[in-house]
Amino acid sequence: MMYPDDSIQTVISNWWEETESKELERGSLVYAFIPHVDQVPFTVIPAGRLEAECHDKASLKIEPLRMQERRPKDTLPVAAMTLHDGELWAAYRAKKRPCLVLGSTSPIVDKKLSRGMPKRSTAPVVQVAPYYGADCGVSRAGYNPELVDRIKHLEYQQFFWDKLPIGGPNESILRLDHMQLR
Amino acid sequence: MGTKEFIGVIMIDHKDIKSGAPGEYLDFTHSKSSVPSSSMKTEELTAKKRKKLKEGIKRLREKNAQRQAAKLEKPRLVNPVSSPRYDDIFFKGLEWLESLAGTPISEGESEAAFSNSVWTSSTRRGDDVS
Repeated sequence: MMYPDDSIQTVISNWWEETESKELERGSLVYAFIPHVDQVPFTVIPAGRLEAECHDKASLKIEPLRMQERRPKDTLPVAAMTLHDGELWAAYRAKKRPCLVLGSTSPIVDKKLSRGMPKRSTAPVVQVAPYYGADCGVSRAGYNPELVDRIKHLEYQQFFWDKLPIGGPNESILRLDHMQLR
Repeated sequence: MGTKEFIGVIMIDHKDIKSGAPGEYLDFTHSKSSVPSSSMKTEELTAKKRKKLKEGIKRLREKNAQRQAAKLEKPRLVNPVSSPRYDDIFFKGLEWLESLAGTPISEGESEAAFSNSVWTSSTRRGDDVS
């Protein structure tokens, strides 16, 4: 893969290397559904069934999720959208994006110690940062080449310019300010 | 008088000046020819030597041209920025980056139809959602 002279990748012979192992480790490139973090979350409130005896359909209210707001109890429980005490349904825009694994999996907890505990409490997670395609084109309205150049020249610590060894956009921006656990 | 000839006339041996006192006439009788030696040599060169000289100059020119081309091929170096610029370009660019996330969710009321796979999903069972 060819990198431009004014990028850091050009000083390293093999920036991306294919590995035999499927284990996730720092530097792995993976796909994940990534919610866009800088947004007001929404909550989906099951408002009730459309027909009293029909469980296949329900009426939903979509509202901005605010910390202070009191939420009314369900009028008629919607079985498909089970909620436990203190829980609510949150909705975020998410997109399948290539991501860079920044931190390897969390320490594996001995099965004896985690017996009887819900799996989510001990399930391994990885820290990832998503890539955003940064090509100029019809679908990339508002393309900002000046900013992309600055990012390429390592001006901002929260962004990193790259070319990914997969299909899709020719140029991508790694958003370290959107890192999250998956 | 041509430029070369003029230069030739005024080229004086420093020894002549050093041997004279202020107000005295300078004695140039010991001076060497005032004609530049290089131009004399060129005229004295045989056809073969002139050809060799021309070839030498041509080689030098080619070498110089190659050096210039290599200079142009050198990687474009960029000076590092010591502190990031948070200006119009940054904020407009950030707006563009944010826009790549897609259109926002709109609030309101809607109807949902559930897939059959919902009923047996681990999410519904409660605790075990891994």
